[in-house]
Amino acid sequence: MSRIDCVICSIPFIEYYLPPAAPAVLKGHLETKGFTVKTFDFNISVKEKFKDDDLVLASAYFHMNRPSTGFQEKIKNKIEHLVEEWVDKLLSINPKFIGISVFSVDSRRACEMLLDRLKKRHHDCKIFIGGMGVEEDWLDTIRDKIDYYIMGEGELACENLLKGNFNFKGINGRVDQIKDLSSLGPANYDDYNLEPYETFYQDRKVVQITGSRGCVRNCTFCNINSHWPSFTWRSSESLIEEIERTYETHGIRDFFFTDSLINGNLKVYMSMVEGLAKFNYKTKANITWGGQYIVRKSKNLSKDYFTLTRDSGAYNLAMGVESGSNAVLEHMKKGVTREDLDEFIENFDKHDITCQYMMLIGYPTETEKDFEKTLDLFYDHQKYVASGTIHGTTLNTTMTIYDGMPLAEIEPKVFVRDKSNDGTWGWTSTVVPTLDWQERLRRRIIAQEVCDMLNWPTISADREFGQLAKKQENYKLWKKGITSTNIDLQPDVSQLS
Amino acid sequence: MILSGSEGRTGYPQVKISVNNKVYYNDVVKGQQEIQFTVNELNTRNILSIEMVDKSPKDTVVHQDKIIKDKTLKIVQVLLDKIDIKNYIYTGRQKPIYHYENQGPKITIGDHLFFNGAWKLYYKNPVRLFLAQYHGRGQMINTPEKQSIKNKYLKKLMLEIEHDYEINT
Repeated sequence: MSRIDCVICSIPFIEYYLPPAAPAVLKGHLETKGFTVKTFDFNISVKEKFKDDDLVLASAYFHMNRPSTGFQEKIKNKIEHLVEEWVDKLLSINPKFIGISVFSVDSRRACEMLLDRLKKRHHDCKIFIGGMGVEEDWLDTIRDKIDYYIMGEGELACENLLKGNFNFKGINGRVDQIKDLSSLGPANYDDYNLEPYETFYQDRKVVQITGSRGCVRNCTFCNINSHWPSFTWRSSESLIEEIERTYETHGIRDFFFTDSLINGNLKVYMSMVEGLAKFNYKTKANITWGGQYIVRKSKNLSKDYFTLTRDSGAYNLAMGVESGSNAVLEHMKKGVTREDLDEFIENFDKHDITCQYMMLIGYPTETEKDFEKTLDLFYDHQKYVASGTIHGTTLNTTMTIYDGMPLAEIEPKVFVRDKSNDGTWGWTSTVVPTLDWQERLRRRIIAQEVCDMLNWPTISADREFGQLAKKQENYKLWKKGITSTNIDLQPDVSQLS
Repeated sequence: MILSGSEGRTGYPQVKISVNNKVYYNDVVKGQQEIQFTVNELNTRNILSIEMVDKSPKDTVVHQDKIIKDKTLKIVQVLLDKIDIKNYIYTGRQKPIYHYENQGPKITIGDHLFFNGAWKLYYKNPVRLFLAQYHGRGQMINTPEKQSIKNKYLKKLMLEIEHDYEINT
């Protein structure tokens, strides 16, 4: 019996809303090149294992890279047992290659655990890792447990890895960005059980699809341009082909775009929505799609913009609103104002286009007044929650600062990292000196209370608060000087203006 | 609200609109018409009622098995406290008074009234909060279980922050 070429798995922590795209995308592409590929989503196995108890803490366990806070033995044992199950599954297939998709830095802990256990078992599978969470600074901790790594887009690098072209640029290095997305094979979700995912509404099964990579914007709080320096996109014909195939094979009508920003490039966007609208008119399939979206100034939009957006099936668009303050939006380089948002959402309401707001609380330049303007936004736009146009908001776990964000490059002009064991969330503003972790947490709590009072659904608030509570525990330990990784107990106060 | 009345043999429909049995409109609706009124009673629980009151069997004009003219009423749009209730309209129910026995279902759902009989819609005050809750309730990402987990951590963090504040002051 011939050996399967490759197994690709996703690992925690990723939100449980949607089946992860990366393994399905790679499977789809590699199979068009003649390879046999199987995919596993181990991330969702966490939800299944802990669905009756402790899911929030189990998720936080994977989410935190180096927790100084203890987790109950019961949870740790259950997680260790789960990882053993992953290893059993992978090795039972005995593939030539095992690929681990490291979605973000929050997947590193699970990756390390999985690699440790694979190393202890006898097998001759070659192991490779890839994904946004793979970066130079982390590779040294796992290099002896992997055979290959891929930094950047994986399709062509994986194809060449499986072909044995180990010198292909991107194998054990950073790949060149793929210029022609339309040439890649369509994603294949055949191996996934689509039942356990937490889709936004009942009776909907949603899979992800990629229309573009990169972003035409350069917002200060986003590191997407460090991963994909150029903006590339697929033709609407290629997109529709994938949608049609998924609809016909799985009966799936609902799609979520992995794009950093669906409507970043208006020309590309209009071509896509026109194509999808025509598909919907022709087939009556009632395809719907969602994804990350940005407010646009009305003067830049064609007269068909909202009509075609609606008819193409736009649904619950994740709109990067971030703040209600123009001063904060300007510093973020969002390119839009609160007034633009007011006009945009009014048009959504008129055209029955639904969305959710993604907010960012505690941006380094956010003063108390700026924060109050964000609260004003919740009051003013509650009418759209009442009309069903806004489905809810993600308030997030307050501003975290990662390398690769334009903001990270201007330390200490607007912020300075605390010398804690996790400077991504442990930082203090240098332009709003009272804005430290505790103040951000306070604002996050107030925002939650306002949203709860106004009946704004807050998406992921359960897990976010689980994480916030754990971070707060870590913060308190750090303040008391208990954490061994402390260097200083305070940020460099000389930087605070 | 916006209603649209179509003409039958005896003319356009006479329409009665009431909230909690108090009548705010009782007149003919001729074509598409915007009707506004203010409800001063601030009851928590309310029933909006819309009904045609003067349709008779002879209003329906049939020619060669086809209805060519009929007295009907369409509820085009309902705004409560300036909020377009959109899909919530379909929670309204009509108990039609049919012209003949077993002419149709006892209760109908929809935004078209083809017979006399009150179409009733329940809502609560404050209406904006009520509608927001209605629209949010079907979301898997905002279930009561998830809210209760969130509340548990929220309460814990709030107590901690209040405690820290007391110590610092």
